[in-house]
Amino acid sequence: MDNTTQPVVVVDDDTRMLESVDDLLASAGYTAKLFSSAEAFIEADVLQCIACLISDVGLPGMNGCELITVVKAQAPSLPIIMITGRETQELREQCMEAGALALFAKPFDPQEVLQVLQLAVAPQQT
Amino acid sequence: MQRENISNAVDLVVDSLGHPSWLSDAGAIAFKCNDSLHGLRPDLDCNSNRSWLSFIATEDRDVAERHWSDRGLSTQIRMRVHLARTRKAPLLCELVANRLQASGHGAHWLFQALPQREETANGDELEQQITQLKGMLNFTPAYGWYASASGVLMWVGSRLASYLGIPETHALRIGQDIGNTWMSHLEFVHPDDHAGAVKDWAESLRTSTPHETRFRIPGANGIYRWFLIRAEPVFDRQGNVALWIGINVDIDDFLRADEELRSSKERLARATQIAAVSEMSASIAHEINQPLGAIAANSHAASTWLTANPPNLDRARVSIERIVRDSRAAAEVVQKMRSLFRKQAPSKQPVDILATAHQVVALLDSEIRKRAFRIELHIADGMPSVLVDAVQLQQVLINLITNAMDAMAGNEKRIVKLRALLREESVQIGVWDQGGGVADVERIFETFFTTKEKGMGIGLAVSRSIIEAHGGTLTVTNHNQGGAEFILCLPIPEEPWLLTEPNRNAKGNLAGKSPLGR
Repeated sequence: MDNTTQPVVVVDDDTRMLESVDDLLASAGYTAKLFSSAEAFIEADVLQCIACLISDVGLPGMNGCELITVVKAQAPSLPIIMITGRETQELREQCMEAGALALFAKPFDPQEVLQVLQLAVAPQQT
Repeated sequence: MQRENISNAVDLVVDSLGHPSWLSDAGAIAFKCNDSLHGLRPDLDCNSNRSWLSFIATEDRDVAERHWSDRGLSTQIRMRVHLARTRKAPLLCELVANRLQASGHGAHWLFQALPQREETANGDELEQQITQLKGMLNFTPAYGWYASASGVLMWVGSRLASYLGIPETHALRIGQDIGNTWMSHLEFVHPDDHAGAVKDWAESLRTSTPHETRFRIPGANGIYRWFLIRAEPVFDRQGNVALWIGINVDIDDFLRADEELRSSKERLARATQIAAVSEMSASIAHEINQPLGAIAANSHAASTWLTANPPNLDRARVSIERIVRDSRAAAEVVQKMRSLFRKQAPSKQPVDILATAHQVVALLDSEIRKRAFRIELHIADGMPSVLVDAVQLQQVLINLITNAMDAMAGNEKRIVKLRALLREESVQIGVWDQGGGVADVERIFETFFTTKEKGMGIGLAVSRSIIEAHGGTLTVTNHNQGGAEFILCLPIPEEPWLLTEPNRNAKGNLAGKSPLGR
């Protein structure tokens, strides 16, 4: 599965989540870049050279939904996968409208996340 | 001739008098009696030289004789005596005798007997008062009634009679004693209110003090309305209750309005509570889902590292260590949440159990009445004060009583007992119901454990943590009368006034505060 050239970005303010998703991605053959806030990620200016963005919704400062809008403005085709600890129907619609590919509620099924990620990244490989 | 004329004129006067009258000579011999006297004594013959003293009832004859023999030169004598009557009780009279002009045979006396009302307590006087009372009550714009000294409902006023649909010929309209008991009025009381009505009435009858109670009374149309019943004892001259005068006030509309207000307040409070609880459970969920999410991701990673070829044991070990760490974090969230309930330090003050019980019943009053329950208070005498946060203790008791009523909803039992006993070093308060009992006496106190369809499983958990924060215990036992009793034990402070100022020694005299300063 070691077929990705571009890294996957993970944004979450919870270090445990960052570590575990990093581990999960590594075990699946991806490389990950980790950020603990939306601002830090934007500042790093790596949008043009990443394969996918996985972000938490409830972030300090700029939240996940706002981040989708900002990212979509600069990189409309970048696939975005959102994760939340407080899932509501309203939030789901909000994320989808903003252009997210999927919204997973914690605790999510890692298998499902990997499947969506694979679909998201695959077209760019071809 | 002239004397004869005078004599005839006097006879005419005597005949014309409307009350018993007669003429007597100086030797006490009656020689002329009028019709009124004959009315009392049809057998009397006034031409048989009888002494007028024979007209007087035997028991008063000595008195009469003394007055007569002591008359001396007076022209008038007065005495209060009974006249004998044929086949009837003697008639009390003011007897006035006037000396007429001297004749050849000495003075003649004109006796006039003016009937008097007997002054016995239960006789005519009371009768007359009752007649007046009936008139007054009929004209009063309220539902009036009266009961006998022993509490038997004797009479109802015209307004109450028309509300009840009682005809004018009914014994209760006439005020007749038809052998009813002091509980016969229950016929006009809603069956669910019988117990309270009997208890309150018995208490007033026992103590002869003003009566006040509430119950529902059926109208002629069969619809029950709530009434406030008030009665006052009327005392006779000896200080005994002669009768009870009562007024019923229709408070149905008032109660309904009051109840609506309360229930909308309750709904609002409940909505606020639900909002707070759902907000809280969302935060709790988030707090727990965070480590759970990490655990899920790490587990999957660990599993992948182990199944790789060759297995990456180092990475797998790291993943598993993180799983252990994160599950500990999840457990900590639960622990934190439990301490959240105990976070607010209770502001402890000496609190009287009986007063608290009354406050709680008052706060629940509309709920209790709406659901037709009855709260019985069994508070032992001489209960010491306990050192608690009064509001929190009230919350706990309200929670327990509401639970008790919920447990009995839909069965016929309608009594919740609130009792307090003094144990060796604690005060024990029990809330007793007949709601079928509790299946699991420990799990029922767990957070989010509920047996109610719409329950949240918060009340008992919070109640227990409140009582534990006071150094007490909250437990439940099932009793053999088909129900449960929640028992809370609170420690009795050894010296309550010292405990109200816990930092007394630390502040010391520098602060210049008296131990009772707060």
